[in-house]
Amino acid sequence: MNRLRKLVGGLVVAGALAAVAPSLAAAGTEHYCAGGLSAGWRCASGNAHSVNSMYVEVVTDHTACAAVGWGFGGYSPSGSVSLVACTSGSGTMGGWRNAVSDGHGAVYNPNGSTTDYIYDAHASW
Amino acid sequence: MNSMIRSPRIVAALVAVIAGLALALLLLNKNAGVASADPVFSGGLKSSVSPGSDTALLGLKKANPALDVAGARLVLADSAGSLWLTSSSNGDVCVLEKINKPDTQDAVSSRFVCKAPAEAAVEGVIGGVPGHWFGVVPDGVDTVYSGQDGRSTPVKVTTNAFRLPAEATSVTVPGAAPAPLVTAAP
Repeated sequence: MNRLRKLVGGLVVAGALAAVAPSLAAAGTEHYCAGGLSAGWRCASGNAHSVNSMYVEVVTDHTACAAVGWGFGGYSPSGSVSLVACTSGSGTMGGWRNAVSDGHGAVYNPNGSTTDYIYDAHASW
Repeated sequence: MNSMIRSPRIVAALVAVIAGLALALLLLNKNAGVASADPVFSGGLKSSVSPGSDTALLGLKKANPALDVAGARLVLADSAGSLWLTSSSNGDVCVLEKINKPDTQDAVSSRFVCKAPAEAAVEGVIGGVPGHWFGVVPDGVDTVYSGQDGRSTPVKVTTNAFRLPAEATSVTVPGAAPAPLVTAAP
């Protein structure tokens, strides 16, 4: 019975540790711009961040680019963005950009005629 | 037997064993990436770099915690950087890029692109930024075609991976429609 208890206890502890192990928690995360994004438009997070590193990710149904934007939040037809990673077609893309000063997480729809659907866009730091 | 089942301690022990086994199975499944389980992308080169301890690659997990960075396999290394094939926990096929020398202090250090496996098996996984494109294609595809200025130029695939010329405006994977590429920064 004692051996059974030890076995059970070990399995439960191992399982609990595995469940809480995932790692690399970001200091902060901001989600933004889920929904339709018109052709040629871009959309940026509402808050600017001055951080040593910004990580961005975008999940979309069509070609789009994860980006860092400057000087605007929300939707814009011409706001300033610097591309981090683009897809060809639907998918998920993102990356890591160093030394961001007053940057917004952003997404850009490069297509001339297609509205993209953004399932998720977020920036972490 | 009935008296054993009725015993609260035995029942509690059985529940705990089942819970522990379920968690162990979950963990095993979580660590089994598509990159090793999906036979259509089998390429891999020897690498002295462990992706799970590389700062630029590991940093991508902060953008997407579902990426299996530790299980990534090197598929291309050149002067621009390195490409790594891996998966995410939802089964997507992913390619990671580590950039050797970011142009400036605030440049991009690494990036990733993922695609659902059914699409990746036909179209490959293409990613990058204007003037800097790369991708991976399934086993058996040894050439893709870069389109620019109305011409189509063959690009050799090695170890499932390729880079396109800077002037590329589209890429064609045999069996798939030509895929237009983003050609100008906004």
